[in-house]
Amino acid sequence: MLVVTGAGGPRIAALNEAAEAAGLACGEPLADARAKAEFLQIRPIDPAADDAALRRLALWATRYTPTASPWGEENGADGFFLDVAGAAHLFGGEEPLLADLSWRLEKNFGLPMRLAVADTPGTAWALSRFHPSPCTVLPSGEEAAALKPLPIEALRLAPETRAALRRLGFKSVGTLFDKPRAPFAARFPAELLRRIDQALGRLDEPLVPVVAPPLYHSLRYLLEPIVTQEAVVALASRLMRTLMLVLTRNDVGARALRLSLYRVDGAVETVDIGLSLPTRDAAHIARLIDLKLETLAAMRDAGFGFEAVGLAVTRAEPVPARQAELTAIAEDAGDTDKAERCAALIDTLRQRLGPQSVRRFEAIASHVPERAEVLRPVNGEPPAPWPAPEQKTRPLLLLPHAEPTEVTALIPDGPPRRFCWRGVTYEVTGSEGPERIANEWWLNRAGHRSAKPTRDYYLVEDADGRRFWLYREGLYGRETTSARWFVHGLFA
Amino acid sequence: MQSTAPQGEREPTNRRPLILVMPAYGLRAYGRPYGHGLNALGLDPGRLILVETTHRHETLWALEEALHSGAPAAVAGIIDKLDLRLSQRLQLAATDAGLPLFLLRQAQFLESSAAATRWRIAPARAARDRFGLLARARWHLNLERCRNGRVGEWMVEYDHVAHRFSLAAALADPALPRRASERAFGKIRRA
Repeated sequence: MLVVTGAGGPRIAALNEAAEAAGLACGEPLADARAKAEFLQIRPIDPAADDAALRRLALWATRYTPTASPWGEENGADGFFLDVAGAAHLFGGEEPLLADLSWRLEKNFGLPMRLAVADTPGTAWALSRFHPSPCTVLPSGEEAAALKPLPIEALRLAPETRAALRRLGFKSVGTLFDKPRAPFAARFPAELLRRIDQALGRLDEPLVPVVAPPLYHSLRYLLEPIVTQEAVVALASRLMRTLMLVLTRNDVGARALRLSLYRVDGAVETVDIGLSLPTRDAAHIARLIDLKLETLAAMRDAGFGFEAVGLAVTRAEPVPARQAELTAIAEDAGDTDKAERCAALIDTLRQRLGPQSVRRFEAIASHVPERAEVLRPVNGEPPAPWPAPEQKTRPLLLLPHAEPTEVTALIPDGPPRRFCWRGVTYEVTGSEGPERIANEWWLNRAGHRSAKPTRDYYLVEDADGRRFWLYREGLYGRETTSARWFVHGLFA
Repeated sequence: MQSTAPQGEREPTNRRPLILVMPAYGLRAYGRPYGHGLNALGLDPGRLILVETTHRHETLWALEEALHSGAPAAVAGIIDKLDLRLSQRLQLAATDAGLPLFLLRQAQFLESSAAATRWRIAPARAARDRFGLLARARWHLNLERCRNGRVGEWMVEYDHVAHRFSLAAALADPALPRRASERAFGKIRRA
């Protein structure tokens, strides 16, 4: 038995069959329940865990159709919708689909279930709740007739609306149908008419899928579960070849793919694959999947194996059709081919090393050296052009953090003569500078960066020709009385 | 620094990327490559793709992968230890792909390898202008190993105005001491 704490003390939120048999009901105060039954096992309810479990179940159900939508709070949060339009015939019709679903729910999860198929989500919901048979398939167009005998609870209304209707003597849904709509619209929240219209299909009810439905999807059920990585990769490659036909027909290529591995015990492993150029190359994708699976724990805990494998294109982008033989002669064919090979290389590297490890330099309009550029993961977009090189001294290597150093200078705001960095003393034989880099005052005014002192940068060279980039922080007299020195970069 | 250049001629490359594979720990003590600094030396940082690895195996794998794809204009890698067998493997991959492969290594890690050439690059004192200020950065190149070629030493300098490296015109520089200039000149002639 699960309890929820609310106004007036803890109440029963959910119970099992034994508790029901003992005469308990949901919504009763816990104190009453204790009086009625002797041995109660009481646990606080955990909505987050319920939600996660329902999500997992809905994810599992994507093996039937890509659109699985777990019920939210207003639907009771204890089931999910499956949009089986166009998917039922793959299982031999709606009845066999329901039979398969109930068999698997029983076998994998040990869950009792009530299933219904109808033309609208509202009717399906009502039938699954209130129809005497646990497995219902409603023929098309009979929603009104099927709903009529059901109690008004079947309309998914707020408790206040329900109570008001009952007070007025409306006990079943049918009594609402043949009344004029205007008085209802005036007296009740808009929800009432909306729910009726949704149940009868006069109003659309959008479903929020548990995962975004893919654009292209290919799924294969296996008679014998597979365990090895090679088998998964081989199967994925075959699925991709099936998808390729559709992709080619629509002149698109995949930019992102999701491989779903349905385990025998009901868990679903998903592998997401991103590509930097749209592709239809099955071999390339199989290779990426192989690399990804190598680093993934999915293969290690395959359990009793995977009974179904699905491959879905979650992002597609147009690819102009090309004729390989003809364009090979053309002048620009080499470039296109090179670009494609480069994208394939970047995909491979990203897949094995992680998307954050393949990066590109991007210039940022800033005077402060450490803010003047950023490393961005390569994502397929062409890089922003860099400005033409300026006549400024910039080091080849920039230290991650400027390191404090001891400096001897002839005059306080002159160039350094000697400095000690990382325990080694360097005699300065030549220097260039200073280059004064002031802080970005416009950022200070916005208030999201603390004011930093002005820096005077020097390029200094020691007797052996090593060149360093040093700066003195703070202007004498105005900003500081004892300036500090830092090493910020290396030239050679 | 070692370079494993293929025997074949290099095709002109304009916008193909350069791949630099470096371990995440490799250059930590010396920071990371700085785009504006590379830009100042004439290398467009927009072309450079930085690949960071966490292990030496990954570095080797990424280098081979980049070479096999044949897509980049050149591949460079920073690697600490490399035995002869692995270097042969990389050399073979570079030759097959017809791409230049540069292995950038710190001087203390040098062991024998199958690379076609080995350059030792050291900083050198910059050229001074007539006021005694730093004018042009210089490097001292030492070609220690060269298959089918002669080894030699050079002094190169970078001209910021013309954006090119050139052999240091040592004699034209009045600020350098005479002995040093003679030595530099002699090396150029020997090469």
